[in-house]
Amino acid sequence: MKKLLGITLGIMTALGGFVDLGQIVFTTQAGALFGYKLMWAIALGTAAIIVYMEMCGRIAVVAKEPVFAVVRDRLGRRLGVAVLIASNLLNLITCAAELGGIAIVLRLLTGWPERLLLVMAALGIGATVFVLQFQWIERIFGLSGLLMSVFAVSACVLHPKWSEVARGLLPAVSQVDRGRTLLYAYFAVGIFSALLMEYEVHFYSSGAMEEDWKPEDLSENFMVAAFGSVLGAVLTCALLVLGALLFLPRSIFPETLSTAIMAGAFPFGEKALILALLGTLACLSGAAVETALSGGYNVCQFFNLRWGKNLPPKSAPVYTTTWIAMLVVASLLAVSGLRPLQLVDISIIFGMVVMPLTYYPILRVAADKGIMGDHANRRSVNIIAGIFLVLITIAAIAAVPLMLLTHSGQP
Amino acid sequence: MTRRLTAVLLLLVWTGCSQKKTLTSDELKSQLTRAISFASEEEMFVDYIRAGRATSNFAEQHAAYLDAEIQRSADELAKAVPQSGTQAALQRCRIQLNQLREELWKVRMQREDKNALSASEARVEEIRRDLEQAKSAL
Repeated sequence: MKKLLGITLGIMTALGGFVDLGQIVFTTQAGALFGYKLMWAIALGTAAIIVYMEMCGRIAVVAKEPVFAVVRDRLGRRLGVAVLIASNLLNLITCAAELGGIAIVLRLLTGWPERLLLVMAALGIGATVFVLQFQWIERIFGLSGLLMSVFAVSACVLHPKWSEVARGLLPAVSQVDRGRTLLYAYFAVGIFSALLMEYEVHFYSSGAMEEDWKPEDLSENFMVAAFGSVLGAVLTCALLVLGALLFLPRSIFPETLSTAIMAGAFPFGEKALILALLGTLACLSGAAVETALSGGYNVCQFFNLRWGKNLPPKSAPVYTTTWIAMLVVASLLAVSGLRPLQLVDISIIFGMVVMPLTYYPILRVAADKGIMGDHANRRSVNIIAGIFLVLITIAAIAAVPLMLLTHSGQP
Repeated sequence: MTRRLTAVLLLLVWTGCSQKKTLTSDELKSQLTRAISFASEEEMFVDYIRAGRATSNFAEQHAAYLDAEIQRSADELAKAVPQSGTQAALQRCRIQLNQLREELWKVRMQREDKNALSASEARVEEIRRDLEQAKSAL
């Protein structure tokens, strides 16, 4: 049973990363603009995150090193500090966006004022994380996120043409004009980036250490990483399908979270809508928790300070203070009136820019026989991970120019 | 050199802060596409409420979010100066966006009345057709 529940780390990590505010709206928009033609970006991003999540779990178990210690040792202190600042800024922006999204969902459920709900949500999440042990955090947010399955059921009930869906797994670059090609590239980079957000690997490797995984648990590491990611990918595909089936034929470009949620329960009645709202709430809350905790993990791992959700707060004061501060500052950002979707656009694209500096050190350590011994990457894994790193770097270079040229993906 | 740079920066700040923006034909087309999207979404939403699939809170609050997006678009157009030859299309887009907001307000007020919702849906469809015409005429 304990081993079965261990899967919830993978589920929470992936759902918080795959099905967060940005991904929900962004993927639905991609479906609304290009039908199934960007399915390949989801498949590629999923394969990449499985490979790198597995490596992070393995490094955490064998080398007893979490991701940010690896970043510091491999990139050097100066570049490492730059990556630390950039990663935590992104965590902060993403956390603020998720809190804003949570307030929107709560308003759709209750009709209460959004700012009041935002403050209540931040306090509720803060109290929950403060009180609970790590294992319970991942179980609660991971398992409740499964309510998002209603999106997948809706997508199936609307009868997509599966042959066309499968055709979307192959990239199709021939678009009508230059503007449309740029838009297609922007959404491809955005989807790929959103699936590989840095906080996923930070959270996953820290989670493996929080759960005190041993070398004998390594066989499950791949299963945990793959199961959670595939589940997240299925839900992401469902969002793309819903965008393609409901919005593309009607020339709708969904610009609000509530539109995407409506799509998630479209063929059904009120109960399904409530399930879709609760599932979205769970996923956004999971993402907010992941980003806030990742902020604490990153700082402590970089400066070699004590960290851990399962330690009494007094034993890990910097860690506890940092994640609470992340939550407080993110709430202030969200309350200030910044639109959650604007924040998330920034975090997805700028997250892509920093990404190679997070993933390169992971690959270096996982391939290092001196550190990993018999558990070092096999040649085939090195080649696959290397190809993904090249793709991540290309996407990182293209991200900002594409954002500027397409006015952040406006059709 | 420094003076020139300062002048250029001041010019950039001045133009950036300027409230009026000339809308090119392509930009207007993009705004019309957006307005058509709003109209289509409103039609779909009214149909969704009419079918009894939305909770009352969702119907009320989603309408408010949709209205906020339409208003943002209408505000952008209110500040825009049309390029020659596009005045009529711009004016049509402004009027129809306001009509969409008005219909949305009616939907919020009469969401229990299926006949009123049907009438609203038909009017929104007309608005969408008018916007599509305006776009194709550009």
